[in-house]
Amino acid sequence: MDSSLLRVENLHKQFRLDRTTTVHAVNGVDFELAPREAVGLVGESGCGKSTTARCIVRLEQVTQGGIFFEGQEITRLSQREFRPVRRSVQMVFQDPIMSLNPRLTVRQTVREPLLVHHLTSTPAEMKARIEEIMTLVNLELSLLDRSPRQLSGGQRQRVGIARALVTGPKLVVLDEPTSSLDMSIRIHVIDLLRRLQEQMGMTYLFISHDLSTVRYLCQRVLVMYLGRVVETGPVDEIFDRPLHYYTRALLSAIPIPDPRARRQRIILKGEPPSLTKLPPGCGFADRCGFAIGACREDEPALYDVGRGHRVACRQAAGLRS
Amino acid sequence: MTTQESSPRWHTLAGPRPVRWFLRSARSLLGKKLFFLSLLLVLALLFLAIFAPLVVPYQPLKTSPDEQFLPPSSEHWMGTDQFGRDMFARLVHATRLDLMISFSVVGLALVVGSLLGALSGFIGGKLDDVLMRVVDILQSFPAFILAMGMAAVLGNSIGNVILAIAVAYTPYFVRLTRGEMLRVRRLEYADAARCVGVSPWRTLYYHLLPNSITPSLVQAALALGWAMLDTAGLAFLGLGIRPPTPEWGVMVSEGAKNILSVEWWTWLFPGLAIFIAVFGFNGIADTLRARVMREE
Amino acid sequence: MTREQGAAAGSTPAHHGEALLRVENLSISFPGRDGRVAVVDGVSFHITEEETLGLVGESGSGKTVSALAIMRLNRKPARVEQGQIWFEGQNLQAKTEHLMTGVRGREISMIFQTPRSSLNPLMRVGDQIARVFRLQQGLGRKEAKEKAREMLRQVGISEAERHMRSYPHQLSGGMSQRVLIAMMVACEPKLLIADEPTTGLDVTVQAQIFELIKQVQQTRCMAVLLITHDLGVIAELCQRMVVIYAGHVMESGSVGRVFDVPGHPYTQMLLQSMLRVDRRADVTPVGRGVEEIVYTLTACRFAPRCPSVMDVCWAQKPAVVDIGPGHRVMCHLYSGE
Repeated sequence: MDSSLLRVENLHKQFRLDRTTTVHAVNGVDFELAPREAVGLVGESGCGKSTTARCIVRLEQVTQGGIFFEGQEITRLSQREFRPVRRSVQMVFQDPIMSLNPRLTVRQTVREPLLVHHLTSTPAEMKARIEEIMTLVNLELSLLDRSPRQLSGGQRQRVGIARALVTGPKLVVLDEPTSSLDMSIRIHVIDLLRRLQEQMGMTYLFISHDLSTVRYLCQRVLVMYLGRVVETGPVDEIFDRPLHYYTRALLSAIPIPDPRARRQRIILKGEPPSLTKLPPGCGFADRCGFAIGACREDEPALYDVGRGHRVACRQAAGLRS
Repeated sequence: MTTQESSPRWHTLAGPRPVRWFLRSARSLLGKKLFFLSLLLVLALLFLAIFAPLVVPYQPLKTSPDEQFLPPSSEHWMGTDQFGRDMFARLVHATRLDLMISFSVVGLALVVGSLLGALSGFIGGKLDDVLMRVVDILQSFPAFILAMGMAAVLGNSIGNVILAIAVAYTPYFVRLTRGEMLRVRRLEYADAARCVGVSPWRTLYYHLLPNSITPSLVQAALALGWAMLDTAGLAFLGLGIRPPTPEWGVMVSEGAKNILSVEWWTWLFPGLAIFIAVFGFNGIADTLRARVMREE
Repeated sequence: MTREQGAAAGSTPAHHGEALLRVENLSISFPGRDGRVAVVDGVSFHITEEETLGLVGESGSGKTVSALAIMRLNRKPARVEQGQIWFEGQNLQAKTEHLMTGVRGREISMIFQTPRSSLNPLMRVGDQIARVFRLQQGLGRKEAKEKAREMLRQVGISEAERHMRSYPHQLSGGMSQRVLIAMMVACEPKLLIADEPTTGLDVTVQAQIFELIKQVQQTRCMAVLLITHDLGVIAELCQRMVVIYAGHVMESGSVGRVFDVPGHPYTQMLLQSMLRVDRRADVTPVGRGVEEIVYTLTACRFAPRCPSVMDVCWAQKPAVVDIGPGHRVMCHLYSGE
């Protein structure tokens, strides 16, 4: 009995660059999302978080594995069969400038999902729905007839959010929605997202490299490296008691805006291996402080260490007990 | 500081201050003045074309053997040609024809070329490959030569001239629109449209096509001038429009015989007419291009 | 009479032996719809030797433009209207271009946001670093190459020999930034200006770069002007900070004081919206989320967004007031009362 809203099973995605090079972007990712929760998917560039998100909304074709939305497998559906599902699965994009069609007014952008899914039957209904969503995202109705060029960054991003929410989706995938915004605006948008989630009872999959935002907004988090999930669990548990060497390094690298905070920084040496040639075993072994010989032979599974905390490392899991 | 990329930087030259100031203001004023002048010329031509029969006192085709080669006078503002036909009347009627041909040619090439280019860029694959090879072949000939060849094959009529030149121009619009389409297709709002659930055709028509067409529109303005030249050129060579139909190229061709003799009005006025038309269209095209660049 | 007021009165700067770099009343204008607009308007700050100063501001604050002005790197539409920049007692604005080239790279160096565009794409990395040594220190070819290799090792690039022969596009973002740092500190400048050096780089790489800057600073006794929008970076690396908004310096002081008792409403707004990773931040969005900056406003430019705005704020530019040791604020809330 599948009670989850979204279930990702053994997801693999490869990109073929040319006859000899393949980029292994996602290499066996599993997770579940329950209704009404906010889950963060974090990692640095190249870890596969954006690709995973794009697979979920079918902007990319999955190479291997399955994605189940409300129990229904969606990767094998045709684009036409998938369309009704898009009502319930939406995405907010990173760059507010590029994600809005420069030739459309705000009204036209927000209206389109309603048209495509035939969600309103009279013009009056449509007008009401548009105004409702605009108010919900704190945008003045007078902005409806402006084009994106005439809006500020925060306003543009809110239009993007309005577009994603106007169909009343159950799952919203947010791909770094505040990375391009200034600090003083960021908190307004994040706060808005938090309130909207509570109000509309949605599930968020929040993709970000900014762990501070994830800590604020999400209840659970998944840490990715080289296309795999290396650690997952409740936000407070992972951030306060990270086990995987990479998670520790990642958290320790983030500067804290408090001059009194003491930092014990773990500096990783070297760089991540190329995604075109994945090393055998655990891909992190060459940079890991815990690595032993066996690490380079078998890829570790996710070990459960209690409290919903799972980590893909034998040594790290051993630290728990 | 917006259109400095393409023009010489006169105002950064060294020199006494009043000179530099003069050059600098001439530059910006010229930009605006150019547009107004061009617009004026084109509008004047359009006016003449539309109201031709009302404007001219004589019939363009009516010959009058005893009024041959009369110089410009109050009766015949631009004189008469070797058949005694009033030059001014012929010129004004020719405006009609030439403008109609230019607009038809460009309209046809723009619409067909842009649609093909957009589809090709959007769908990609074999269709794109085949179309691009066809475009390559067509573009390996200079446009005028290609038009010449087609006009010779198709035969001399107005419709064939339009077709010939339009075919020669279409590849340019295909390329331009396809290029923009390839770029625009990768932008985030194209992804966003897919995500929302917009069908591929609606995405193409509503989102991508309007954003791919701008360079083609600018090029179309320029092409109007070229079409004028090509039509006149073909007619001058005896292809396409033939006498006695009044057309600027035909008139230049007839007047060219007199280039060394005394009857200067037979070639000067039609030549001037071509010049004014092309200048006008180019001026508008240039301003359009500058506006578009500024917006980006 | 405070130092600021003395300088504004036109007298020679007092104690210029103390501060390594002193920017006084800098104003830089850009063309606007109705004539030129002073985007940077009366900015003043100073850096002492071996200190790290953080210049904090968001987009449109003028922080980059001000930094470029120190090196006299501003280009055509920008124009320095007034202000003086003193470096080791010498007025940089007064120097000829020829003399400035002697300052750039040798006395003051700068690293930018996108390292790859600061490197010559057609030259091998090793050659570029070696070139710096040849030009600035007159070393011979072999010597310069050896020194370049040494520099690469010092900035933590293993396999220095292999990377000497790489081209910039073959390096990752983090590596390119290290190479740039290697080039810029090759000649042991007294001041390094770092303009958002880790934008676009991953967090772990960012940590590496900042460790490197710290290390380089200590071994070479350099002062660093760190320009950033990240308050976390400021808290970690800087001793003093300057908060700039819309071309006005709103607050300046030691990092400890400013974080503890921020005086200016803008600083307070920033600190109250800071999210952190060591605990779930208790934040409240302050202000009205208005983003437009009005540069033609000669009074307080924060007035449109300020939660404590008063009538006088729209009419008059506030004076700079001391509210603690070395802690200055430009705000009507503190002047007059």
